[in-house]
Amino acid sequence: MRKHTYFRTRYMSFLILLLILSMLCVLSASEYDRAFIQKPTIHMSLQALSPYKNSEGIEYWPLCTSKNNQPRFVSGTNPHQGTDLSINVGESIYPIYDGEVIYINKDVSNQLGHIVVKSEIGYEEPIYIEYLHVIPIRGIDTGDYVYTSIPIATVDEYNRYDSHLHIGRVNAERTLHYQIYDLFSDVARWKNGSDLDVFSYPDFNTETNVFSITAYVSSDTENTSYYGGYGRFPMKHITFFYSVNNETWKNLNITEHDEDFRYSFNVKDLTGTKSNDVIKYYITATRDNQSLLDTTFKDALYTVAYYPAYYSHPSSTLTKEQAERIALSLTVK
Amino acid sequence: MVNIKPKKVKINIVLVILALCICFILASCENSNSSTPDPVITDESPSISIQPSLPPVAEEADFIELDMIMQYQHGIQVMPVIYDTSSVTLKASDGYEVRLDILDNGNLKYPIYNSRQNETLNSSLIAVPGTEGNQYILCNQHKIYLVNLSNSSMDILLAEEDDDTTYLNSLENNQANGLYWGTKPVISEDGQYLLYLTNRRNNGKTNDIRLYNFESKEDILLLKDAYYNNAYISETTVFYTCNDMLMRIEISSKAKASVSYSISPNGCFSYPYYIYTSEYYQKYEILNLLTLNIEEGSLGSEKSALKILTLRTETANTAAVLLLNQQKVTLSFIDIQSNKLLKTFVLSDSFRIIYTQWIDNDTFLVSGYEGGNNEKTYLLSY
Repeated sequence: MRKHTYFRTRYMSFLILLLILSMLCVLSASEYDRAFIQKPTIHMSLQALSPYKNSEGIEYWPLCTSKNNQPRFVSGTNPHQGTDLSINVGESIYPIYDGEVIYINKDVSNQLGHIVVKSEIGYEEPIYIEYLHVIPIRGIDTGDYVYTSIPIATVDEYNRYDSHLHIGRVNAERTLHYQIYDLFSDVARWKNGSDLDVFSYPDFNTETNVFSITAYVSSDTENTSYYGGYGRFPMKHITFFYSVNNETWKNLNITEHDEDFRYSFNVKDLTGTKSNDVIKYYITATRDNQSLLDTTFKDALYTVAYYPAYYSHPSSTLTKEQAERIALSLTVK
Repeated sequence: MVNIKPKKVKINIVLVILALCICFILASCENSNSSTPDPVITDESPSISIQPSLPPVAEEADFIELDMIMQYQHGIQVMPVIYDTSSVTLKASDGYEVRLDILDNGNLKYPIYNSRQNETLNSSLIAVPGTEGNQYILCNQHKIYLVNLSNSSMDILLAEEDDDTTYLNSLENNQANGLYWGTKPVISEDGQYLLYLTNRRNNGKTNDIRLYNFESKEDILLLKDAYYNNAYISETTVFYTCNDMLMRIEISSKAKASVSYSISPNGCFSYPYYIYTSEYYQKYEILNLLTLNIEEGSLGSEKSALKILTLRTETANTAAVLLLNQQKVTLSFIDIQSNKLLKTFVLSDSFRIIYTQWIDNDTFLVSGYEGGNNEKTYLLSY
């Protein structure tokens, strides 16, 4: 009997320990506050259509005023969890793919009318696109199948935010945000989608050891020196964080880019590594909070965006553990 | 006991056969009149249809099938390109610079919009009626410009300031996403008026509806703190939709009145009618803007989403209604005046629509991808 009680006590202790460990894991994970997923949709046969077009289907390409993953100095998510497109009140919004409405918020009292459409586009997994600050079209509801040729909503009028469309690629629970540029890779007006994400088109040339990535921001608001008050602005610099063969993390700033805001650098030369060295890396892009042109960001505190995008509110330098969590790797030739 | 004579039996048999023949002939006549049936159909298989499984019927004028994606602008085929094109770069006085692709069909030049290839242009241009194809409205979603192809110029159409503000002041005070000095241009059929939205008076917040008169150059504030989804300008009146509402404003007096409080912005004007979806699926309504009479109709099945595009000529008001059920596409033509179904085509069981356009007074274009990535265009007439 006593032996039985002993085992029961031990069993209970083990369960409690397990519970505490589980809680610690959860707390530990939440510290990272993940908000983004960087996972380019490759081998995708179906390009998205614009959410803004005329009734005949001719696509319009509005200016992007705030990119996905963009550090910013306004109310709302920061870095921005989605992309803002400058479309005035009343304009019709079309789904960028045919699909099923899986979430809808018809309460527009706070300008938060919201629709999420799930689409099967021949890719390995469904794609979920959200449309925010809209008034859903009458009669539309969860479970409805919607079409790129029929509007699902109109842009809501000013209440808390100036009229615009917030669009983003999310997961089914709307808790994580993917990059969206790869859905519009043939749209010249949006620089092949680069207008929509801070980082786009990362590429490592395994023959030349040259790493390239495009990074810039779109202004949130006025800049009278630039046409229309909106524009594309270079980052202050990007920073290449790296660890060679699992050694100490180091970093280097890179400021040179071409006219398309593409940064290219030879990893081997830059880091002084040898052939067959394995480099773990991640990159940050720092927005200039003292820019005389990009004025709306002046004195902002959060200034960095990450590639791969991961954190909701990142500090400018990650701990070793955080870095290991997001780092990618390449092998030097 | 009834005594039946063989002769009477024979006569009765002949009479029965005769009656059956008459019924058969009458039934045949009824079928032949079915080109104008009641528009309320609940079957996905309409009485008149051309199945896509049939071979292309090139000799029939009402149905042409092509293995390519087609698009028209200003009534001219721009995709695939069959005319010579050239590029011209225009710059407005405010510094806005745009590259236009000009299509030359031998007689006239048209500015076309290659939506995915042009790095400088946001949207297609709108021809100004009565200018012999020389003048076009260009809206970059913030300002409205007038393009004149006869002298290759582009000017800001709307003044940079008015009694309340200037463009630069509005820009300075605009705190987030959008200053729209002029957007959503709608031109009257006679080319006299341009209706547009602006939020300049409120520094990028609420909008006003304004009307520009091309003849007098007047820019009239028609209605404060208002906006529209869709609009039509008649000789005397502006009709506009705003979510569930359809309103009218008299141009001379600016008097505003409601026409309806229960429409949907998913619809089209075909003056004096507004035809719209009363539900997302299957049902539509036709509102007469002058008599306020409403006609109801229903097409397809309970899972058929409707897309409506209208046409107006001097004698007719016609709607092309696309019925989409997953990837199954059906097109019905409706005479709006009588709410009668004119003709229905069953197009495809696997179609992804890209363009749907009226390309002339008789012909409607449906273009996209069929069965995956096969380019396909249907040209359909009623």
